[in-house]
Amino acid sequence: MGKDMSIDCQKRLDKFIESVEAAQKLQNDIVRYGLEAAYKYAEDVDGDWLEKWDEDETLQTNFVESVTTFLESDDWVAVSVRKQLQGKSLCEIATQLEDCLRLSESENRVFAIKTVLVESTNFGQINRTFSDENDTVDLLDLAEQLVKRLERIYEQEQYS
Amino acid sequence: MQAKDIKNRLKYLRREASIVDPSLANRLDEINRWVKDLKPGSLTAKKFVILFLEQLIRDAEVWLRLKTLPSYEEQQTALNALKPSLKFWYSYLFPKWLSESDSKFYIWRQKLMSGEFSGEDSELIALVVDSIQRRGGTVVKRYIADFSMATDIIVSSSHNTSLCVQLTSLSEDFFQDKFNNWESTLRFWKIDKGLLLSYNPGVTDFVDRIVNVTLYNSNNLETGIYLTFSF
Repeated sequence: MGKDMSIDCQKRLDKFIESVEAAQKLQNDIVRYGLEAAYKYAEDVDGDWLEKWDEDETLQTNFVESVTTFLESDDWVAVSVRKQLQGKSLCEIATQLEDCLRLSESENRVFAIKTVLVESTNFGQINRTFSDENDTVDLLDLAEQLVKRLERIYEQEQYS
Repeated sequence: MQAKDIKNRLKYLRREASIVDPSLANRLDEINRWVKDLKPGSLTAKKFVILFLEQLIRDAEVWLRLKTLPSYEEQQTALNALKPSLKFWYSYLFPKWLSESDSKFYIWRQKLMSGEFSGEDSELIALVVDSIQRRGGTVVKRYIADFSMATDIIVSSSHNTSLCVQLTSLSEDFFQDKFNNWESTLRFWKIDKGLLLSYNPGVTDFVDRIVNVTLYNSNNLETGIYLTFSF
């Protein structure tokens, strides 16, 4: 038991050191490349992301409202999500889902949403068994379906 | 990575911070509002904003990982695993900036819009940082320290001490004003010692001299001394 504790402790320390090293790597890139280092950290530096920083907020508010409406519906995905995330307000869930959807890679969206589904339940605390693996597959499927629904809502919001 | 992902990461962090450290959450809100109001006035503004936010996010991640370690002892062990200048930044200056009002913060925006942040001395600082690191020293260089704390670099070497260093190429006429402002800024942040180096780019070997003086004083400068050197 004591040994396990020290391994956990070491892992946490390693993670901490890793994050310090990531900060220092950025620092050294800025020192070496000056402001041009920005291109190493974002593909669309010269795009209109800064001008749209604010516009985004309105779109986000509307999107969260639409997702909340969807979560209240009888769609089987909405029903499953409600069941999975019992105890949380629908608006809270919608805001979290909105965060996930804003990740640019589709694959990342699915995994971020799956994480929300897992972390919001006691699922993560249950000892791993074969049946849990089946649940994991189901959650992944649910996350994929949910991403599809959210993307559709997002498109509707953008062009409305 | 897309620039808009930076905003999402800020949002994630803000949510995590609201549970772990409200002062970080407040700062992140403030930064979000600040970025929202920015009207980029120069071509370099967007590059700066990306690097500044990326730097802030990484420091905030370090801070959250530290704060979520389960015990005080474990947090101390983590801090003690860092070189002194990094330990000084993460255990003292960064949290101090999070929790205290920073009167210079809103001056940044003006600087940004007028393009003043580009830093004419960045090439010199790159040479100095590289030389200090090659000689085994550790450098912390952050926009927050530069703009709000009159500190270009925080340096540590072989001893368990660190030193805030500011470089300037100002002529003697303006030096006294510069010195007074620098010292009062350091005192405001309760940085209890510092080194202000005034250099003349025409002098041979001035980079080596800057590095020698910096490394020596990072080990030996006593608390309460605000030292200046001119080359």
